[in-house]
Amino acid sequence: MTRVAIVLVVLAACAAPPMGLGMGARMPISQTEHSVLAGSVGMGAGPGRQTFQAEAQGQFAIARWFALEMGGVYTQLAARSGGKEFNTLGGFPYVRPRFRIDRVSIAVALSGFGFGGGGGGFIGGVADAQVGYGTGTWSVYGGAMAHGFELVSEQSLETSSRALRLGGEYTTQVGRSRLGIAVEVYRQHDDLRRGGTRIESRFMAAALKLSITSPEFR
Amino acid sequence: MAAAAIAAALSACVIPPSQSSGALVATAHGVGRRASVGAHSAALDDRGASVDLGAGWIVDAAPGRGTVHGTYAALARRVRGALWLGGRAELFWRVAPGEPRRALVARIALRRQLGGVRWGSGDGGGALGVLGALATGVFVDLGAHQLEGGGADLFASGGISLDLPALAGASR
Repeated sequence: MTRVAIVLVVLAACAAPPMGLGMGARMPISQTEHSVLAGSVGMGAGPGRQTFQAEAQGQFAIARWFALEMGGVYTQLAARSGGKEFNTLGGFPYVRPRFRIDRVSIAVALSGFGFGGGGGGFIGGVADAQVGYGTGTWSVYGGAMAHGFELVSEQSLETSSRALRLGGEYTTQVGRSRLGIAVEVYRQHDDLRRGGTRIESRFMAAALKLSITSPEFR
Repeated sequence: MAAAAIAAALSACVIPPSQSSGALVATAHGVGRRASVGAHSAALDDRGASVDLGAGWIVDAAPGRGTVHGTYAALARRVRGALWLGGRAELFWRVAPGEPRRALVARIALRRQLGGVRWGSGDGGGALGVLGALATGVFVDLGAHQLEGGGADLFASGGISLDLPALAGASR
């Protein structure tokens, strides 16, 4: 029972909605069977809230028209409304297939997990879809994200979020790596509940993301 | 039960390329301490990086207020030789009125790469790999805190840093 409680307490921290899964729609790989590694960090702000996100991923070009991205994203959120403050964090590993038609790509990311037993449990998941136009240097993209998390224990926790985003990114070669900057705007609806605290809001937000991408390797 | 059996049979760990730092910070209220640890791209480059993007955790303690914990994003560029210039944006969490909510920091640093490592070994029972740089540095920061509830303060700090390479291992 103690172990279950510890697991639930740790995983109670997986509730923060991410600022999307994966990066922009740039085409960093020029040849099939080549890969790149990338990391990004972003900060977002909206009315009464701030978000921090760090992400690491690998991208593998399996065919000219298909690449697979695998990564993980860590998010931390603070939301304030009417004198109440809601702090939470979250982490999601994800797999994100990307389908390419020339410079247009469609990427769909899914992540989810659950656990139950001993009078408690949790379930959480994220779905993210993105359509973009990109070159090896820059991209523009639009996406939609749905996130849900529910923890049942002595201190229940429930979060859900829906977001639409528009973004653009630009990269430049620095040494052997590419350094990138992306700006994203969001239209978001959040419903955050912990115990007797509930914050529900619809808002516009913006985020700045910095990224670094390794050289291609086979 | 099946998941527990798989977890027991297969274990893996990844330690990202990291930069840790400790510093003394001077504010209008006295001298305090700052420390941080995070994942940094420069620590993954065994041949010597010219740019660094990092993110991680930071703790900031100063006289007259409590200790605050936060996350940071850092970007730096090597200018010449061991000289680096960069900046940090910091967000602090669960803060009380009068404590820092956000910070912006400019950093000048001297970073010396002591060595690079690119090593791996494995067999049927498992594998272990190390990739990245071992480096030390000294830095001076100038920054400003935005305080919860309004207001701001300026600070200056100086400290040392240590970069360690990434390590990944798996066993069956």
